[in-house]
Amino acid sequence: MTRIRLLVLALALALVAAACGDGDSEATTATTAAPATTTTAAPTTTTAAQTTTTAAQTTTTTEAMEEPVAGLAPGNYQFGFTAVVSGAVAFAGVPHLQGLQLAEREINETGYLGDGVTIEFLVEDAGGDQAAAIAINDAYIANDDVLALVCCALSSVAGAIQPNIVEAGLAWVDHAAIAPTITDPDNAFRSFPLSQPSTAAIAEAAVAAFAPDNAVVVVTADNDGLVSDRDATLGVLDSSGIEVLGVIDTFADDTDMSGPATEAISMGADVIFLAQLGNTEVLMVQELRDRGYAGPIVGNLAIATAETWEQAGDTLLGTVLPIAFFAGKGDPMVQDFAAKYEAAYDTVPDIFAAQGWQVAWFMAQALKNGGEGTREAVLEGVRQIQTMETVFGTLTWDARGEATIDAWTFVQWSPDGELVIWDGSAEGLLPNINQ
Amino acid sequence: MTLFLQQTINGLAVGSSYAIFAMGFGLVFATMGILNVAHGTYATWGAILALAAFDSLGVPLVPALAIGMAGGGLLGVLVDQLGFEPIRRRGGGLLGPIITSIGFWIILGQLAIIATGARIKTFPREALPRGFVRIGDLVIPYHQIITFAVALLLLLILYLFMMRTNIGAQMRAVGWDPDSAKISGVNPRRVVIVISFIAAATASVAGILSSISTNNVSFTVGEGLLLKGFAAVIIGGFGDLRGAYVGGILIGLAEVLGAQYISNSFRDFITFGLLIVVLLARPKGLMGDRIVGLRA
Repeated sequence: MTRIRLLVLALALALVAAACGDGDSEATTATTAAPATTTTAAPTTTTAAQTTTTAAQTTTTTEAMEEPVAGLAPGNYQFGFTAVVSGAVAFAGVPHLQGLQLAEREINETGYLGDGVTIEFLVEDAGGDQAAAIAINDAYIANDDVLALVCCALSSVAGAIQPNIVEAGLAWVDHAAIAPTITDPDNAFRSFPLSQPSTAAIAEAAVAAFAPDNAVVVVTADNDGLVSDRDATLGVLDSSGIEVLGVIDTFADDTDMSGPATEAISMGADVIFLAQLGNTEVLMVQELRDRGYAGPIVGNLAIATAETWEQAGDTLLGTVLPIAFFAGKGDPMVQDFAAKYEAAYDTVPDIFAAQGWQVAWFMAQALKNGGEGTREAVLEGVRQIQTMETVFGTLTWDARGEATIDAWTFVQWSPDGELVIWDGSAEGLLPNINQ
Repeated sequence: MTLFLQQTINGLAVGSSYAIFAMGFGLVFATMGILNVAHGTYATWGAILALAAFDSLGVPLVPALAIGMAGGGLLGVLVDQLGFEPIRRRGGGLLGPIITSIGFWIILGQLAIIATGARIKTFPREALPRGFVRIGDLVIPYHQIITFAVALLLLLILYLFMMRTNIGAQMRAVGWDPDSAKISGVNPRRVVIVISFIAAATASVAGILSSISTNNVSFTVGEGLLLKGFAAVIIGGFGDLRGAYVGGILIGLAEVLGAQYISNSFRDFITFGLLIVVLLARPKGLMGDRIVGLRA
C-alpha cells in the first residue's frame, strides 16, 4: 500500500514537472514561430544627442541594422525583468511577458543593435508579491551582468522595490505600474504613458458628452495608482461643478461586487466612474448592468482585454475607457505589431502586450544610446531618450522620466466584441443592455 | 428600507456560498479533527473541472457541474488517503495533518495555476442563468436565488443524511470516538473516505456557485472561501452542520451590511471582529452547546 502511495505521489510530482516543462516548450515554440520579417513596428526615437526629429530617425530597424553602433561590442546584454505570470494580476502579466519576449526576439533577429549584439531579459515571476519582488530585484542588482531593471505591473510592488533600486543606482524602467510616485530623475523611468492624464481626459469628455448633474466613483482603495486615478476623476468633477454622490471603496482581492453595485445604483448617479483593478472592474460592470443600471459607465483599461469580453459579454456595452493602445487602431506600426503578436500567440494583443513590447524596445534603445554594456552607459542611454514613435503613438519624456502621449484614444466595446472608437459624444455611445 | 433589504439579500447570497463551504470544512474538522487548509483548493478544482467538462468535452451545463462536484470530491478522497491516512494510522496528532494540508494546498494551488494558465476562465454567458426577479424595487438575480436555494437544500440533505442514515450514524460515531466506533463494528477508514468525499464535493459546490455568480473560474476561487468558511465554522460551532450554515450566513450579512452602513474598508475587521466576539462569549460557537448534528 505504501509503495502504491509513493508511486502515486511520484506520478503527481512527475505531472507537475511535466506541466512546467510544457510551459517552457510552449515558449520555445512561440520563439520559433515568431516572424522575423518586416520591422515597421519597431519604435523610432529621438535622443538628446539628436535634438530634432529627422527623416533618418523614422527609418525601419532593418536600415538601422546596417548602421554601425559605436561602442557596442558583439555579445549578449542582459536586463532583469520582474514578471507577474501567476497571481491575481497574471491577466496583465502574461501578455506583458509575451509582448516583451516577442520584441526581444525581433530585436535580436533583425540585428537592431548591430551584428552579433543581442539582448536578453532574465525573467523571474514575483506573482505580484512584494517580498518576492524585492528578493528578485536584489538578486538582479547583485548580478553584475544585469545592466538595468524592468518592473512592475503593480504599483504596490513598484513602491516596495523602489528604495533598493534607487540606492543601487542602476536604471529602472517601470513598464506598467501606474503610481505617479515611481519615477525619479536619477534612475527611475517609465516606458509608457501614465494613466492619470487619460483618466482626467476621459472624465472631461464624459462630463462634456453626458452633462451629468451628479456622479459616483468606485475605486480599488488598496492600489496607489487607482487611488490617483480616483483623485484625477474627482478633480475633474469638482472643477466641473458635478456633485459627487459618493466614493465607494473596493479591494483588489474582492470577488463579489453585489454590495458595492447595489450601493452605487441606490445613489441614483447619472454617471458612474470606475477606477478598479483587473477583474474587480469587470465584476462591477456586470453587476451594475445585470441589476439594471442604464446610465453611462466610465472605466479604465482593466476592461480592455479579450478575456474581459468573454467574461462580461454585452454587459460591457455603454462603457467607455481611455486607452493608449488597441489593436483596431489604423496606425501601421500598431497593425504590424498586432499581426506579429497574433502570429506568435494566436491572440490579438491588448494594452498589456503593447506595454511589454514597448519596454523591450525602450531598453534596446537605451543600450544603443549608451553605446557600451555598462550600467552607467545604459542609464545615460535611458536619459537620452526624449521622444519615441511607439505603438502607443508619439511618446515624449519629461525631465523626471515620465512619458506623456500626444493624444489618448477613447474606446468602447461593440456588440460583436470588438473595441471601437468612442467619438466623445453622447450619441456616439452604444446602447447598453438596459436601454 | 429598499436599500437595506437589497443589501440583506446580497448578504444572504454571499453568506450562502460561505455556508456551503463551511459545512464541508466543518464536517472534516469535527469528524477527523483535521484543520484542512487545502479545502479551498477543492472549491477551485471543482470549478475548473466543471468548466473543463463543459468547455472541452462539450458536456451540458448541469452534468458538467455534477462532474465538477464529483471530481472535487474524489480529489478530497485522494488527498486524504495519500496525506492524512498515514498520519492517522500513526496517531500523528494535530500538527502533522495541518502541515500536510499546507503542502497539498500549495501543490493543488500550483496545479490550478498551470491548468488555468493563471488566467481567468469563463463559462459562456449565454449558458448561465441570467436575469433577475423583481419584487417591488428589489432586484434578485437568478444566481443569488440558486445559491441561496442550494445552500438550504444541502443543509437539509446533509442533516438528514447525518441523522437518518446508517452511514451518517457511523460518521457521527467516528467523530465522537473512532476507537469506540471500531469496537462497535464501524469501519473507520470507509467512513473517513465517505466524509472526505462529501466534504470536498460540498466545497466544490461552493466553488462552482461562486464561479457562476461572478462568471470567473480562476485558481483563486477557493482562496476567498477558505478564511470565511473557517470563520463560519468557528462562529457557528464546528460540531453542528446548522451552526456552520448560520455562521456562513452571519458572515455574509456582516460583510455586506457592514460595508454599506459602516465602511467597506472595515469589512474584514467586522467579519473577524465578529469571530473574536463569538469566541470570547461562546467558545464552542453559537450552536456548539446544542450537541446536535455531527456529535449527536
